[in-house]
Amino acid sequence: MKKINRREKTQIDRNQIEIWFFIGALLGVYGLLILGTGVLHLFRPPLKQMALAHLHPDIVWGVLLTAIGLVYTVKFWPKGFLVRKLSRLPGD
Amino acid sequence: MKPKKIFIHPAKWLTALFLCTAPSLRAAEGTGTASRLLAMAPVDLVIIVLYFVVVLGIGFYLKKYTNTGEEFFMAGRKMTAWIAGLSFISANLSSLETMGWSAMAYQYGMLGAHAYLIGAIPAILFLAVVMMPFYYICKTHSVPGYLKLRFGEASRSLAGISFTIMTVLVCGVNMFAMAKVMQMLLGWNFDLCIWVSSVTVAVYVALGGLLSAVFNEVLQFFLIWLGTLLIPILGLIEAGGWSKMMASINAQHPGQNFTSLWANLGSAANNPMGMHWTGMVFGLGIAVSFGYWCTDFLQVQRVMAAKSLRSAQNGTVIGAVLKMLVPIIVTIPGLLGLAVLTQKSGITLVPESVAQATGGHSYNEVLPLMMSRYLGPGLLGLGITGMIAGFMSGMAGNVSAFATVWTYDVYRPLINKKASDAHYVKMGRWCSILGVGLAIGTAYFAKHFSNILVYLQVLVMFFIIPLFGAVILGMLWKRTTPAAGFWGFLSGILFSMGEFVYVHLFPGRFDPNLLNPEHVKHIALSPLAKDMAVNMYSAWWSLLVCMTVTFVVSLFTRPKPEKELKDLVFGLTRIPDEGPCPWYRHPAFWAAVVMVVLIAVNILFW
Repeated sequence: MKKINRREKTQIDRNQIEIWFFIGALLGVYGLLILGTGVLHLFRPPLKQMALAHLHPDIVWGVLLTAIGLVYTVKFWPKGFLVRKLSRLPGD
Repeated sequence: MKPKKIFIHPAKWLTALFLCTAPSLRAAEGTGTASRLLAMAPVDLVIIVLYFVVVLGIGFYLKKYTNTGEEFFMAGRKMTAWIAGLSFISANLSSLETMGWSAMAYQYGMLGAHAYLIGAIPAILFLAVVMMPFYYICKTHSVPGYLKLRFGEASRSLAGISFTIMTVLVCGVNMFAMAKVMQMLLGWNFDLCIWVSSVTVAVYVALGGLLSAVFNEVLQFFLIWLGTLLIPILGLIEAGGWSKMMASINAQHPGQNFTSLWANLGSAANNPMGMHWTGMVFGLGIAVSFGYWCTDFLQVQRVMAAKSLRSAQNGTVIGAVLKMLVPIIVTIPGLLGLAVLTQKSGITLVPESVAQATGGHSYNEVLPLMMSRYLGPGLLGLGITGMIAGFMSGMAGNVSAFATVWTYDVYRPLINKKASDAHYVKMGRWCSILGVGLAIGTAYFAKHFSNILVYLQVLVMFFIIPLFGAVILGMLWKRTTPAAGFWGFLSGILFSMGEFVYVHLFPGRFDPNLLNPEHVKHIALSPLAKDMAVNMYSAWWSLLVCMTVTFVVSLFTRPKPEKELKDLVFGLTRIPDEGPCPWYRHPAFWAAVVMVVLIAVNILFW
């Protein structure tokens, strides 16, 4: 196993993507999927109507999840994540 | 077979609540058919598949951060208070818990909320303020590791071996339950559920260790809450608010008290659990609750991985707050089931035996029924994903705790004392896979021999509660001797087992599915006591026996010299200076605030 010295280790830890980023990304995607389904149901109502469907809980919850997801994704976006990836592109 | 009543396991809600669903699961096995309670749309399936992709991705991503033993087994001890607290509470918040306690609320009303109040909060706060400094300062890797430092190798081996067996079995039961619940709710294939979930858990725990388990537990917390929270919100809107919901329940059940926490506990005859208030206070509030929250390593490991003592303590207090909020997504849906389902859908839930005979819905289906009432495509996928996440993180928690205790408390001291750190990490990774393999074996064993579930449910109680008795005396009384710790622990285990045999013993036969009222009255103070009451009182007596034996043996045996007890015992432990801390960030302050809120909630719903 490759030995990692303390300085490299600190650097790796600093670059570790935080859990909040994963949560934000997943909730954001879920929010968009649920919101999209809710909007679709506005135009093509499903065969089985849920209780209180007139309140459009899918749209409300979809917006909420998207908002939470967006906030977490942006706030905990890994520092230099995209920059590092791009800088390693072949031909650079 | 006589159907098992709704039952609260005194020490491990996860295992216990499984038994709430067990009869219907066994029935599904018997008929070979699986009724499909929920119907999913393609978008729901996409949401579930995305979850699996993300958890596996997290496992692969975290592998490079778990190279040393400290990183693999203790997540590098760098968790913030919030992550530690969320993980601490998520390890306990399984899907069986949400389903089982909703059923409890439907059947017994507010009494079911005790598990989140007196049955958890005082013990969690005690762990935060009193016990955590000892666990954290001695830098042990596990609770059995603390026993080694305090009482020696014999106590550690007894605790280590019993814990590893217990975690694997509980993990297997969880796996079995997940497959059966998914088969019942969605008509999914049993074997496919077992293998997909277990391979996923094995991969991400073997790669990322505790760090991976913690990441997924935090993720699971959000999924369970966001997948379930709409049910109480929409349910309360439909019921017309809290007071109208309660009025509807009272109107449908005249003469029964579904809305009180304590008013009907004056006598065992006044409530359907057959429980006197002393059982709730001493059994649940002290023995069960303190045993589970303060010494079950699965729980304690999460906060021991915090980056500082203060983070560990604050994380534990955060866990207490989050625990107190769980009735919102568990108890309220159960109460809403009472108020809404009968009135609006004409559905009345019945005991398992009646449901099996008539083809109706049982109490245990209250949460899925509420999901099917309110959650349409997309939202249902989120709710199901929350359930799957709850099952899988329960398995992962057990597997990571198994790997730690096996490696540090069984393999290293008893088999290979002088290996390198890298070797122990490799052992931990293989142990994670082995643990999942053993759990799969347990799951299939449970499928074919369902009676084993009756024994598994009490297995946890046999070990955890006496363990608390030995640990707490060792921490708070320096005169406690190594011999006393070992014999107190062992006598508590044997006494617990004896109680279990005694209450199920009939003239000429032993039946683990039935209680003998003639024997029950000696343990639970009333022949009317049901499983829950019997378990609460059994726990209390075994704790008393353990502590009494530990105390008496200590008086006649030689204690350790004080210099060997440094940083292990109250009065001989120096709390490290972690810099200035304003009062509003102090764990003791927030613990006091949470305690006041707990008292207020109990008075409000008295």
